[in-house]
Amino acid sequence: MCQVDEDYHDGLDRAEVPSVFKKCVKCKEASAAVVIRAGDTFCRDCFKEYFIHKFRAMLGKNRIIFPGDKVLLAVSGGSSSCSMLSQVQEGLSQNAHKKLRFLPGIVYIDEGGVVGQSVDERVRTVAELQAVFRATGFPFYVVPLEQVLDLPSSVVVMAPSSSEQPASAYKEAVDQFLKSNSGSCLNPKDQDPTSLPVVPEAHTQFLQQLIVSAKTLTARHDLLNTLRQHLLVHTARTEGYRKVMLGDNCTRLAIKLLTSISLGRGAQLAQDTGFSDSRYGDIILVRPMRDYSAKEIAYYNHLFNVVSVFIPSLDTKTTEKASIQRLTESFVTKLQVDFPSTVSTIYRTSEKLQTACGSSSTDDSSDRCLLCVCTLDTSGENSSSFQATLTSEQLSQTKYPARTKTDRLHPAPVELESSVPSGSCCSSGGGEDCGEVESGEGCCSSKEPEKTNLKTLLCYSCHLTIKDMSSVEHLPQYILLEAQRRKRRSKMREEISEFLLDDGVCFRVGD
Amino acid sequence: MATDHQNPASKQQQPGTSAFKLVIYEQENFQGRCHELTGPSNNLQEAGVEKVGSILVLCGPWVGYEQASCKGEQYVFEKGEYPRWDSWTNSRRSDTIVAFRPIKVDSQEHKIVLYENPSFAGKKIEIIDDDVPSFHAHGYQEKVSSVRVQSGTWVGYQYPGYRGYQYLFEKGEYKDSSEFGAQIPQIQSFRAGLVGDFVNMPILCSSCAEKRAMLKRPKTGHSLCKECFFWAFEEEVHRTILAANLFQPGEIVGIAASGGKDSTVLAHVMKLLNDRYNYGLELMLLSVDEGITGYRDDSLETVKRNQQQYELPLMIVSYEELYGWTMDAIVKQVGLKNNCTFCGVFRRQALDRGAIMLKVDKICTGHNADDVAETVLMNVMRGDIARLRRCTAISTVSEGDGVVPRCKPLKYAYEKEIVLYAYFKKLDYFSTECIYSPNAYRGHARTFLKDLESVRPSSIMDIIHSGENLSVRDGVKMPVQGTCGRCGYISSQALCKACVLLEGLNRGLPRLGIGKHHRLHEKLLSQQPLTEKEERKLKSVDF
Repeated sequence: MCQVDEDYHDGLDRAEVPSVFKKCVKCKEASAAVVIRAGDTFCRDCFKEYFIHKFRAMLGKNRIIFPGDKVLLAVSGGSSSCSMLSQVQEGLSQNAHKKLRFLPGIVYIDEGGVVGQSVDERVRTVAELQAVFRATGFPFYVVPLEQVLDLPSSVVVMAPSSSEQPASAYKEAVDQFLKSNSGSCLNPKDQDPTSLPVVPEAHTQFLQQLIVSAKTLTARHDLLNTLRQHLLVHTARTEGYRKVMLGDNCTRLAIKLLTSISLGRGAQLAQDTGFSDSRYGDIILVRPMRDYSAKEIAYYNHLFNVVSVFIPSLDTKTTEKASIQRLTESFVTKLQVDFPSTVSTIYRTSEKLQTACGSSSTDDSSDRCLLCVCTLDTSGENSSSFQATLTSEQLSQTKYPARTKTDRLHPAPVELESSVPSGSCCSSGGGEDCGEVESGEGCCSSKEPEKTNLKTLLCYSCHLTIKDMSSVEHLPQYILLEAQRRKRRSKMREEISEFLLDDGVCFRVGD
Repeated sequence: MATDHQNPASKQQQPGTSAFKLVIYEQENFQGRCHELTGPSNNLQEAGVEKVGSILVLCGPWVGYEQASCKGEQYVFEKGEYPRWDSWTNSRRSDTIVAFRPIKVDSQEHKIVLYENPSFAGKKIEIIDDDVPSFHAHGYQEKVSSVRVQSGTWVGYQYPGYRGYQYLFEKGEYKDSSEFGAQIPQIQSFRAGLVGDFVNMPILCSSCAEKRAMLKRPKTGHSLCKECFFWAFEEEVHRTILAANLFQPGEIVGIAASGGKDSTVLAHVMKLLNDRYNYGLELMLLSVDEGITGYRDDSLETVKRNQQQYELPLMIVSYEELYGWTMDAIVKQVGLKNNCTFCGVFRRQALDRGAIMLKVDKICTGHNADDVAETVLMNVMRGDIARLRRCTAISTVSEGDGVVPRCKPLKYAYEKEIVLYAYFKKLDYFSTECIYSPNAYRGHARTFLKDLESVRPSSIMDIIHSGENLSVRDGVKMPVQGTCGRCGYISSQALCKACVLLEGLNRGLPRLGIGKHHRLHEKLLSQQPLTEKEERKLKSVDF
């Protein structure tokens, strides 16, 4: 300890050793309690102020949550989402400086059935969380993931956004809100604490079969994320919420960004990691915690007694290389130790990306992925990684034309100018249905027909997930039904295609 | 469990990790009592195994013997299930197995010489890396009395089509047929390499369904024979070239050749495709001599050999000619840190200058899919959005005038497949790391990518797909392309990076080009001296 002072004069090259004797960088009076980044020491009070301000600033800057909006907080029990809950509580309290003016509700999705928790364990966890939720006074919903089996097909269809709210309308809305009812905005529903939804065991089993049918942990993860999101959106819709707040923090998002890239989700990157995500149209997903690092949240929760509940997940107790998600997580956290700006740099990259498909770009559901509801990214030009993969698969399975020494040099009239490779059967470019319909030439025919059929309805990455599944028959009904509907529609369109003047225009009008 | 009898033959073959595992069941179809083996056993009966009814090989290969102490008829077991005695022998002479030992397979290469007479005399036949279903087809009709195994593990069979008695051959010499356990010197087929994943019979190529598969494609996981792999690899490059419309007939194309595996394979494939599909291109090799003793001088020798093999003209441009500095000299001044910055910037420009000297229309480089994916990851990790957007482009035609367009025909080829291709084609390439330290941060990205590939082999293509589909927000500032005020090369600043670096070297201020010193560019252009303070900052390089 006594060496600290000596080091202090040693030029800027050496990293300063954090010390309990240092003063807060903000008020320069109180002694520091936490070190957030190298050199940023905060005292307890300033840290709290800084933390709270960040949350308000994030919401204020983006102007997506309007006063009076009903907002559903997705709380998983983890430190990040619990911290988000406490921030909302804080912001809604009467004496808050810049009061938040929306109507929150809480949803907790109980995934215990997937990770193999017993019924008792699940009841215990839920009870623990209920205690936390009840203390907030907000209405809350505990939804077992098994309910995903009973969802309607409308979940995977993008609903038209009910009313466009340009950011300019924000100020008016605030004024109006202040005039009309500046009073109580909380209307906690009286919930019967005993009314826990009972989950039939058969449902749990079915769900487990579904998850186990994915052969790799990577695919299981991806599938679980998709199902969870569908259930969240559905809950929000049925309970009348228009926005859903997710607790993703900066560290998590940096990991998610690299994971998404590694999974081939580049096209959806901005939606997966940006502040707001409007792929579902009427429901907007928001990530207000994205400016906080995991470390900040952990400090805050610790200093201000924010309760979180540990719940095992799919990759709890797995090895580093168990899945791509897990591998990326350990890569980022390890690199962060040696290069402290890793997370923030990756995170900033996400801010520079475009939210490609805006909410109103297309209403036609057939060019959206069946699972992740993002615009399909499989219609790429001839020279793309997607096409190259198809070519490789095809070439590895078909016999090459018998050639002897003599016809090796056979002068195939290949014009370099022609942009379409003559042999590539997989680029059946016609039709705006984008999905590379493999019906005709039947390459990749080794797969069962079911899977191949789904393929045309999926984006690149979701297709990889489905490819890792032993069978698609375990998928929930709503997905299979919607798949059939879309296939019927595209078949219909094929039949009438010669009468359609211009695909794009006709469909904008038709649907 | 296995007895601990020491077996002289396998003493040195004890695997370090004891990965071998074999389960013996006393009855057929994996019924009855079972015994697990993880090492050699000279006498199963002594170990309490009454009879061998069926065998499950979890990790192999293994060899079983009819008699104790590894004598008598031999049966080779690879990874898989053997439910009945007739699944491991087709000589059908005996159904007993009394001894077992694991076979150590460590060599990737396989070379064996067979001799007609004992003591390596008489007519001989040499086999490399390939299975021989029948010697008759190869014109060898003599007996096999002595064998010399130069590398790899081989199994000989009494009859054509891998039938009859089996004889295991490991590295070493077998002077007489009794030394490999044969009573009559007759061997008529041979298999090279015991890998693991098949049940007694080799897997067939998924493409031609005729020949035995030699490799598992890293990219798709399919098992292919050598010929089909060559064809698929070449055809894929061909289709990449067509789909991206990389070349026009009559163009002069320079192949950037370093002598490494990527550029060697590129040169080979380009020449081959140009002939096969009548591209009508005039190809030439273009090399850059960075002046790194012990690295580039050696690899350039490889390029020169390639030049003769492929009969392509070769042009070598050196840093010394172009800049007056060799990398060796630069490292002396700059130190081991950051010298890659110099080398990278100079090489790019050197290639362009060489291309202009040769009057080349296009340059193609050997960047492979791994390189592209790695660059995508790197640029995300560095937040370099401008590079992120263009790093997946297959060609730089869009970059404007003043530069010779560069393209990457191997963009979708996995590094592993390039190595496989070079290996099986026996291409001559140079493989040594540069003697100056590699870029540390890139190393992290590389390791991460390799790990990703091991979890999901398609990851490399998936990352490229991601990169190709990224869209950048409108408001993000992008560098504007201009030209260098000194040499006229493209640059986003007043001076191009190469000129800044060179200026730094010549003024003895090596840090000038490292980090951002845009403010000084005007001063440099007008040949003004720098202030003392600026100089001090740029001089210090800590060794």
